[in-house]
Amino acid sequence: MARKTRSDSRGDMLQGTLDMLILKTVLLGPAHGHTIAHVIEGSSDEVLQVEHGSLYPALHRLENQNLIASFWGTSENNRKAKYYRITPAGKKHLLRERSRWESLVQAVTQVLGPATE
Amino acid sequence: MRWRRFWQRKLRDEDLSREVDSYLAHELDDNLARGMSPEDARYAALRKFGNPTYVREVVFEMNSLNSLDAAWQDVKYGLRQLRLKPAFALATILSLALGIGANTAVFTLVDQILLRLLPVHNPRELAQLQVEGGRFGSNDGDNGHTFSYPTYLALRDRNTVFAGLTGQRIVEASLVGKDRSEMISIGMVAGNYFKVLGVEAYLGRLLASEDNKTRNSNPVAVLQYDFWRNRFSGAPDILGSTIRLNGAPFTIIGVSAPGFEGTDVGLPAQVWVPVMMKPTLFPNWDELDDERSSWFYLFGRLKPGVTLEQAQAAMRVLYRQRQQEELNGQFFQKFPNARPAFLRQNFTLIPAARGQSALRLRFERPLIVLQWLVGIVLVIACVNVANLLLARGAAREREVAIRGALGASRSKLIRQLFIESLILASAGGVAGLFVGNWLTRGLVYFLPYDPANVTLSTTPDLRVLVFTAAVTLLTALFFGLAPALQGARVPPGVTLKEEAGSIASGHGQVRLRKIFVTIQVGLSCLLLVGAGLFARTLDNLRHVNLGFNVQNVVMFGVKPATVYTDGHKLQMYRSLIENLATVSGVKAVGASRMRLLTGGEWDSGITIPGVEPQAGDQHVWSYFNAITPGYFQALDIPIQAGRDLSWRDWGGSRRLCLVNQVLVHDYLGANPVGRRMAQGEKRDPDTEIIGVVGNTRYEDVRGSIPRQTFVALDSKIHYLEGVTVYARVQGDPQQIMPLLRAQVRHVDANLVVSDMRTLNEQVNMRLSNERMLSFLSIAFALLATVLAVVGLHGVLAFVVVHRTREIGIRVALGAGQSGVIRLVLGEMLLAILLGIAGGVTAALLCGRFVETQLFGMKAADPLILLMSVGVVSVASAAAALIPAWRASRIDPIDALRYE
Repeated sequence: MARKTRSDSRGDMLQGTLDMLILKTVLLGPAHGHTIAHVIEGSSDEVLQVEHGSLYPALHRLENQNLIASFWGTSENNRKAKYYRITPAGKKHLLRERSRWESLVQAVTQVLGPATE
Repeated sequence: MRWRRFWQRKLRDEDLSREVDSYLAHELDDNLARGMSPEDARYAALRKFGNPTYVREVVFEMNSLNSLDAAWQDVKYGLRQLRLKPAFALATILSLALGIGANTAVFTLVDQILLRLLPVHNPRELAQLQVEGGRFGSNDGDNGHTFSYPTYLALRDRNTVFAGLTGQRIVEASLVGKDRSEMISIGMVAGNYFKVLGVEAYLGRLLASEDNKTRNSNPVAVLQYDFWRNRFSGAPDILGSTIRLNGAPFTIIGVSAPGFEGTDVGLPAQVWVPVMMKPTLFPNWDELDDERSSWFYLFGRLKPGVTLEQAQAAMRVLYRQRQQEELNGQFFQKFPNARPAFLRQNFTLIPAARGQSALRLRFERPLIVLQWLVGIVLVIACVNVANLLLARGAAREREVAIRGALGASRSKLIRQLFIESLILASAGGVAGLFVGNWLTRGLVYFLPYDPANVTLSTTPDLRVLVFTAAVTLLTALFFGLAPALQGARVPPGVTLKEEAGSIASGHGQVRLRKIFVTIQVGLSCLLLVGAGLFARTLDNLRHVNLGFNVQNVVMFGVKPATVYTDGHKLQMYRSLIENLATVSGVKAVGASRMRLLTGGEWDSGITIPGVEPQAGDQHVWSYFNAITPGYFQALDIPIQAGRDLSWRDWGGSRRLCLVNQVLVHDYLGANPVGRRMAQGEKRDPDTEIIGVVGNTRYEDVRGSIPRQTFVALDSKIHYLEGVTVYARVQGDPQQIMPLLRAQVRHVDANLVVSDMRTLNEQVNMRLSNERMLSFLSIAFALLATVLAVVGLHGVLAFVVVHRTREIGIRVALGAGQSGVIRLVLGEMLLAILLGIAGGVTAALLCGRFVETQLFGMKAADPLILLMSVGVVSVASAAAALIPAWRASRIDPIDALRYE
């Protein structure tokens, strides 16, 4: 009885993109929510331009899927923070999604053809 | 995974809110570093994050099992609703507890007697050997399942279809203890018994083939687990110690694995010994080498891949070979004309996964009838609860309408109503387990066996629990679904506008409830017919003339705990009877070899010079009993010609007997006294008939009275294992029983007394099936009728309330009282008539199924059908009259002012 949760409402494609961005961010090393939010915001103002809070359900979901793991640590500001790191399964997932994404982009580009005014 | 998250969701929520705090703190730090004022920095951080509560909600829901959560809320809501109406809850739970309990109780017995597989390795591979037809020799045990020991050995060694062929025989023997002697049941088994069944030892070792090689040389015994626990307190050092069985010492070599009680269902073995020890246990019942003596029960385990049919075909060939060998024996040399009948025996293999059971043969049909009866009772209980739920649904229309108006979907409303039914059913199921346990004990009481010897468990085990749970669920589905669908159908707009008592609402309800009434009336009519049939059967049986006076007779078994010589027995039995006659309150006393009305009998061919077999008979024959002087007085059997036996004849050289009137009529004609006869065919007629006695029943109450010959007990003293004493007493039999016991002990402390009861009780035991069916069917029929009446009354009362205004208008317009009554009764007339018609039809259809349980009547008994219809009609009329009368008293002014 999978009922659509409210976080799904922005569409599967967007959610998949957010997942990829998160995985990509923590691929470089463990990071906490605040850092991840800012990194993603910095690299893409499309996805996370509204509220940083909507990042957390995504983090939670990825953790449930065992793509990332979490631990409580101390941040650079000397505050308690929950850190996320990527799991082997997460790395594999990212790789797979990335190549799927690229082939999708390629396909779409082909269909659209060269940009003409 | 999902479940773990579900249980941890509170924890995870706390974790998340700390995480949110951490984010806000970091953002605040950044904002402050950018030079914002603390206040601005805080607001900016909150803005950046968004709504924390919303985020938490999303994550919380992610960790939820939504349907379960909602169901739990429904359960809580349902419980609250039921608490508000305790009377309603109680009534439904009680109805269900009775219905489910009755089913649980009957299933407990059905499961143990009819369904359960033996707790052995691969029970489905087991087959029992069966042979129907004359034995042409002695047969001791269930007719059709016994074999002689030499035949067993031949079949065991020559067959190619069984992985192992084994045999067993349950017998009673005395266990002499320090303080008391008691009768226990002993399994005399072939050496491969445990190996073939695949039963393991719990302690020590079990019997093996080496223990059963030569006769009387291996006095070893294996204890049954429960017997070891109860009788020997589970002493681990029991191995190697000695017990005395029928006076002979046996060394205990092991204890069997728990759960295994032998292959006789309901007649568990307590000790197993090698069958080759039989002559030690029963010096006068050796017969190990006698191929004309059948007493051993055979089981085989089919080889892998061999089907029952294949095995049967192969075994039939083998058995035919064996018969040919037996035809060369002494008996058939002497009586060559018995050969064709002997060869007509029919050999079969029957599946034995559930073991063998005399109990099953006898109770299969009654138990199945009972299971149907209680099934019907459960349906009636369900219908009743459904009816109550509907009535409640009517009262809750507004509540449901409001919930609907507030946005509850139809499926949610149905779920809510159904979950309430589920709660009721569960409560009913749990209560039903208790009721069932209590009823099971009652049922076992009806079984004609000494509870000490029959281990039918009355406590529910896992199988019974699963059964009850399944029944409960089905029940909830059955009674809950229709009312839930009906209840959730309420259109909020209409209902909320309406007021109670208006004409329009409740139409669907009334129709559904009328259907329920039809079902209830029909089923109670069916049960009443059943009750009538069984009650009259019992009554007919009770009025059968037994030929003896069953009042004020105490009977009991007496048996020496050790082996006596013939001379000693002769002296002991005489002194026993003469001494018992001196007990105060005893008017007459005698003893016999065979016990009356147990289903067991002793018959034999006889020789009377000049008498030929009757048409349809193979030979001249009679039932036999061996008796002491005093037997006929004790049972009040009249001596109609000649004289009784007397102690003067006891131990003398003359062989004397009495015969009953049927035998005189069939074989002797006029002047029977003084003629001579003999037991056995073509013998020298060495026995003198000294008297003729009145006709009496022998092994059963049913059937025709058999020819009977009463020989003097002393002439059979050599074969005598024990006797049944009958004492006619004056005063309360219960008070005289201890005196009789004491006197037996006084005569000889070595005598074991068993099964002491009144003759009346013995008759009741023989009629146990009929008593059980008649008692329970009456109880269930009454219950069903009461429930039907309650349901009928409920519907009519509902109708009257809903039509108050209409009736008021009618009265105001001049309708008379009788007209109003007719109007109300007319509502239900069709439902009742349909119910009765259905019930009678069902009764006629089911009749054939119970015909074998009836006595002295047909299943389609017009009087009983008529009476049942009468009872249902009167009860229905009574149920309808109160609401009708109330309707006729409606004051039009009140009715119209009602709103």
